Amino acid sequence: MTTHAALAGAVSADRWSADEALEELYAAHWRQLVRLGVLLVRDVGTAEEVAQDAFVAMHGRWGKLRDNDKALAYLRQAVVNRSRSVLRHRVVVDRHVRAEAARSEPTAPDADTGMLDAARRSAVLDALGQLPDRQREVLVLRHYLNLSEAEIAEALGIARGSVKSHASRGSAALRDLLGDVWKDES
Amino acid sequence: MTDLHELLTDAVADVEPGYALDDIRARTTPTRRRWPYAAGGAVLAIAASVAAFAVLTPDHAPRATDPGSTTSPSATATATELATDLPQQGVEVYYVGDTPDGPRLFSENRMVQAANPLEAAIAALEQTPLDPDYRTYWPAGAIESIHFDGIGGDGVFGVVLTDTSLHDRPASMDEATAQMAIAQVMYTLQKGANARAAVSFSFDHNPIDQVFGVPTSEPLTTGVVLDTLAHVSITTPSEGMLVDNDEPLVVEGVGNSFEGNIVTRIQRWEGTHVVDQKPAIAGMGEDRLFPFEITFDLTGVPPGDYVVISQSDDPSGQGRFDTDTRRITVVD
Repeated sequence: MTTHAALAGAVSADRWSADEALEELYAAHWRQLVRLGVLLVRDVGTAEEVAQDAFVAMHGRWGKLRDNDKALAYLRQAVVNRSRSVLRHRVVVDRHVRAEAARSEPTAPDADTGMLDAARRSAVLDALGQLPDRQREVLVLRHYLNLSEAEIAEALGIARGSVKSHASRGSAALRDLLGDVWKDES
Repeated sequence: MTDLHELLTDAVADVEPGYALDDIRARTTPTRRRWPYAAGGAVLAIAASVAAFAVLTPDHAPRATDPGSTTSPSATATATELATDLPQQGVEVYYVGDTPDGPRLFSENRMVQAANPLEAAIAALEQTPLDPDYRTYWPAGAIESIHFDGIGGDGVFGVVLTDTSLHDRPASMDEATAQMAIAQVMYTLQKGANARAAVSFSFDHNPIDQVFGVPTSEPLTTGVVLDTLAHVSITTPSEGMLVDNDEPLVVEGVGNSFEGNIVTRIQRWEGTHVVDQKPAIAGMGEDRLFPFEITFDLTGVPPGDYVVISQSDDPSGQGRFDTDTRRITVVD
């Protein structure tokens, strides 16, 4: 009964590979996906929740993904989409409360240079937060994750031309917002 | 800092997320049903073995000829190879859900990558369905192997069980549910092979006299379709699908309803706000489900979680309609 072992093997291999993929992808990408979330939603706790949801969703879809590269693309897409949902939901939350919470993010400044670093980081995150969703997403995928235009178009479900225009408008807007923090590129 | 990559990388360089793998694992562990089987399964409900079943009848009556004899899968199931270069394909797997008439089967489209899609469909049957409204009564590994003689509607599927633990109907399972559990396997095999062949259950080279307490000494054939399948079943969207509100949402399914009417609505997941509602005509008057399709324009629908609800018509006004639901997330 050769099919016995094979079929039983197939069932457990499915389960095993989803769990295995989860562990591998978690080990390799958890930190980066949370950081991606922070660039999009600012708040670390929210970014962790968003990334956790993405991993759970990825595990559930493993039967369709079946490949670590595809799974990583799915994880990134899920983080971007869920971050956007979170931001939309926040619109109804009192903006003052949100601004206050954002300012109180722990930044652990332990020296003068630490203070400077913290101020710069905070300024960058604030500036990103002021961009329209698409511009922020494109900039972060392009410049933080180093994705190509084609990959960004696929992840966001938009045309490559739109990626280009969001990227150029986004970086111009960011430059205006950051002023001294982002010195002129040579 | 002059480089945007450097600037963004630096902006989150101090973010060190907490350990979350255990939390994620806890959320991905399946909550599979496991029946508390009586040791040895000695107590058999012999009287039940001669009862007439509305759903399943012994394989005596002649059957209508069915298509598919030439397109059936290989006569004997071959080993499932987990080669990664195999193409993905959809298989229909039947799970149990609830209707006003009791438990009925709903089909779920599952993507598999396997040399033998029929085996893959049976493997999926032993896994938790994507739709949380559905359930399966087949624990992982319960089915050892499947065979098909490949002669179409006149043929027989062989289902070999791994052990006798599913011999008796658990105390917590009623008779109607036991029939549905058997029908899960029958419909999944018949759909997968496109042949309404009979199904024979065996263990250790011998027919097993009952499975879940349902008599199985002789091969079983499927009975009245409309007494087994839910009268509305959504094919797409799939559970949890992300939907762009710039794209039209196409809802496809199968149904059988009074005057063929199936009404589909999209409503917010939280609360009862209905975004849109549209009728479609499936069919009625035959013992089968008819396809239906409706397209929704989601322009202006705010991102968030929604539920797609397709519902059969109830001319009696007593609320006895079948529904199937899919949760979707709208993004823009």
